[in-house]
Amino acid sequence: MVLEKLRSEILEVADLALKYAKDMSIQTAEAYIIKNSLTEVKYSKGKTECRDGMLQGIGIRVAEGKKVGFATCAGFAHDSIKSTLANAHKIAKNRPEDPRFSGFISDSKPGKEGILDTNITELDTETLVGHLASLVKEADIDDQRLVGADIEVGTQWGGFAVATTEGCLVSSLNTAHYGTVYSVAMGQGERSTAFDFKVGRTIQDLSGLGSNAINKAFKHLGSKPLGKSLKLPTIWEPLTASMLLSTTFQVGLNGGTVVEKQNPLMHKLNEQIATKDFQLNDDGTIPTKISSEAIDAEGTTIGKTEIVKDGVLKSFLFDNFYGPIFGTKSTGNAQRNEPTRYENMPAISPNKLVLQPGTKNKDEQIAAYDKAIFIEGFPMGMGHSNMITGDFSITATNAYLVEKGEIVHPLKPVSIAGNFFESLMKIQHIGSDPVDLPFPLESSTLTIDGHTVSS
Amino acid sequence: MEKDYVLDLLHKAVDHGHKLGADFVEARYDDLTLTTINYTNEQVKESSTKQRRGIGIMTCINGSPGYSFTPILETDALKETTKRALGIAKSTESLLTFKHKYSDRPIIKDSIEHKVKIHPMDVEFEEKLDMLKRGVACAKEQVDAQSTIGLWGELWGNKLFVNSEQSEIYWTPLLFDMRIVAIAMTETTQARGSDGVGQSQGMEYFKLKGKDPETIGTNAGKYCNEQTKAVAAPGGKQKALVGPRMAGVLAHESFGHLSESDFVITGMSPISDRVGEQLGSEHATIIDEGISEYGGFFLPYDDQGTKTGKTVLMDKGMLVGYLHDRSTANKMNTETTGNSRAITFMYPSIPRMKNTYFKPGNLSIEESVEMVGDGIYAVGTSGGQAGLDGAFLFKCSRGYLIENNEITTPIKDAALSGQILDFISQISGVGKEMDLFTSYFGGCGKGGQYPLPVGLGGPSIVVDEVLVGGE
Repeated sequence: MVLEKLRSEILEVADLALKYAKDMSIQTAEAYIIKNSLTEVKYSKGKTECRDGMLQGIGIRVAEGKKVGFATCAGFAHDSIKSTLANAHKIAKNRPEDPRFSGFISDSKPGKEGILDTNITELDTETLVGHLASLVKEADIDDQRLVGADIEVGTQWGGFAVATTEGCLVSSLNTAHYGTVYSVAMGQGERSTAFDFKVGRTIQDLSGLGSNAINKAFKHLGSKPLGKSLKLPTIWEPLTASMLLSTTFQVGLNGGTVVEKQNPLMHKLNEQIATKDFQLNDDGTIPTKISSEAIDAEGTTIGKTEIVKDGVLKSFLFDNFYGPIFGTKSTGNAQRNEPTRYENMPAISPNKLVLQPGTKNKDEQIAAYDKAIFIEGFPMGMGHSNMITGDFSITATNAYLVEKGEIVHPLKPVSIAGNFFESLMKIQHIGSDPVDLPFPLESSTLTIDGHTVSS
Repeated sequence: MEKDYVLDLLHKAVDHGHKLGADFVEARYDDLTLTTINYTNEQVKESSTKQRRGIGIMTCINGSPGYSFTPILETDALKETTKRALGIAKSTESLLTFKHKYSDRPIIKDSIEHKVKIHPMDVEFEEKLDMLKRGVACAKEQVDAQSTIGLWGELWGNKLFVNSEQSEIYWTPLLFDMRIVAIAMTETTQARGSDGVGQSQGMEYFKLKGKDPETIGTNAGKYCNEQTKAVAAPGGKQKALVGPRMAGVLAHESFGHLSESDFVITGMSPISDRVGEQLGSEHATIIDEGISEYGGFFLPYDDQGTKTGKTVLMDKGMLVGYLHDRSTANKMNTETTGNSRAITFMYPSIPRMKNTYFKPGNLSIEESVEMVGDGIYAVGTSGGQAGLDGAFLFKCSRGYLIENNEITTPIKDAALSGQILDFISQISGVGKEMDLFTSYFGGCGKGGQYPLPVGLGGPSIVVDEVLVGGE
């Protein structure tokens, strides 16, 4: 009920923006409206930080011929909507034209909306704080190795609408509940950190999150140096593998950078880019995923796109600007960046890349190697890699030495160097153990050969 | 929006908070305009303006803080927002052992307008686009670029602050950021070079020597050209000369974050309870300040209405202080340092940095290179990351080999990593030339609040040993 009321409100605001555009003699416009309730409570050793509010704002694109201006404002005040339209119009009139612009979308039929959990919209702050209190209790253990744990729980619910003067008026709603724990442990002067989290479209069972994060940090105490630089197989747990592949494909699949000649995979369409057992689809329709929406940020219906088949790159991802320039349609992959979304122009991003699982789980992959490195957690530096060349050099703070098919001990931070795109051709195992993660790509455990590892 | 109208709203919110039972209330108003131009491959890819206007309310009851916000600038909406902030503050009260309390402070009434000769808002779009076009043209003279990007970003506006002490503070943030990027093909891969400037200054800055669009573009093209011929950095432990921008990122990401009092007071930072200890070499002095003679971001007040000053974190290797907000300063029985900041009105203020940098020394670049002898010169950076275990990793996006006391061959992307306290204790010399900058494209990230404008930089620093992840 609350959600449907919110849907009506954002659709009305979108429609109103277009009416004002007409009043101001603006011929072509697109309005993106968002309203999201955000509640978050954080705890760190007796210190709390809480936020409870309603994000609301509008992003408007106005086209004057082939000249597009973009302006935004917070809130839905009528004067603000009018001044935002005027700003976008002024920008459009003043800038040079972009001959490639082919217009906003004219019609759209919303696709599948993910699961909406009304328990989340009805959750009061006392109950949410109760979730936090349970995790605080879990982390309150009598163990001198534990330095502390930062805990956060929260909810988000709301939706966005897109309207264009070409006749599009659509919306999508979402709900989310999450919990995160970041722990720091210490033993013999050495510090170790770990992280665990859970997020979903429905109320999540967060129990165990605190213990997991703490135990992971404990497990890594007593680390030893690797000694020297080696070229070794690296085994990446699902979370870490998902980070690696998300970074790779978020950049490599961007059809916009293909058009702009900045994409390292731009000449690889219909070519082998990965091992033959590598099958990857972009699917924004899975009802349980928090990334699933009925429409993308330009109002295009979200669907499913085959990306890699038998290791061959079959498609890039497009929005409504770059798709037609490339000679195709939008694949429904326009997104607006967090945290405000409405303040950002649409940019191309995967909805949810799903890697088809293989045959061996994590333990079976570890058992297959005489010497390898097993990597957990969040390596540092992934997001700061050179995505033009694909070269990366990251630091894994939660890595372990594997010998004779077993994990023998944790390692002091190791540097792992390689190339994102070359790694795809050096995958030795794709795991059978995918995990539900809020990343652009969900992977199972991966083993990759040929990375340089140094300590 | 009229200043007096907003001030009245903020006072009403504070009064309403007290009526509802709050012990202390802070009300903040942001009215910021952000302008972006993205000139990619000689087409205007984005031309935009964003109006970021709204009010945030922090209420505190029995030492428990709660925060809410609204873009609706009306009394009823403000009352509802205040109620929501107080509601969540009450909800978490039972978990609290660290009370959010401030020491007494007299009323502050201040108004600071950051005056510049030519304000970016007074310069037309066409002129800014022309600067990007000139920069890109110069880049293309240096390298056969297959792709170019010109970026312009500016942020300016007004901030107002009112609290239960009846303080009223007004100031005017301002920054610009201009960047040119060139991308070229090599036989096997692509190469990238970039340069840019970001400051809280007027457009007259671009008339300074070496800061004009032509020089920025020429540098971007030149650096890109160098990258087409770059060799892999030698991996393993190296002696290094770290350039000002890279040094700034290190000072900020590693040491600066570890000095933030929320991490310190909970014991999560590895430098908690270590004031007075010699943690770095005698050459390492690290400063965080609100308004710096070297440039960077202009920050006269933080988001708790504290006047910013100069905070020495490390003095000749000795840890001497942390970055405080009012509550951590009160808890640790010290003075607040004006480091409570929020990215927008939608977030509560938390301990964040201002302008963080290594204090300059007396080495010339030639003397610094000579000190390294053989190693690497890490100049440009695409950023980095650090953990609360003290581990760090920073990407060097432009660097060179130093061989036989000379800067020689360009190196490909490399990562510098290690433990920050080890790194700081390995500093054996500091240069005399400063570069302190701020940014619109990117900034500081913490607790979901990204990107917050900060200043960072420094002189070049000589490090006897750092792990380089190259080939």
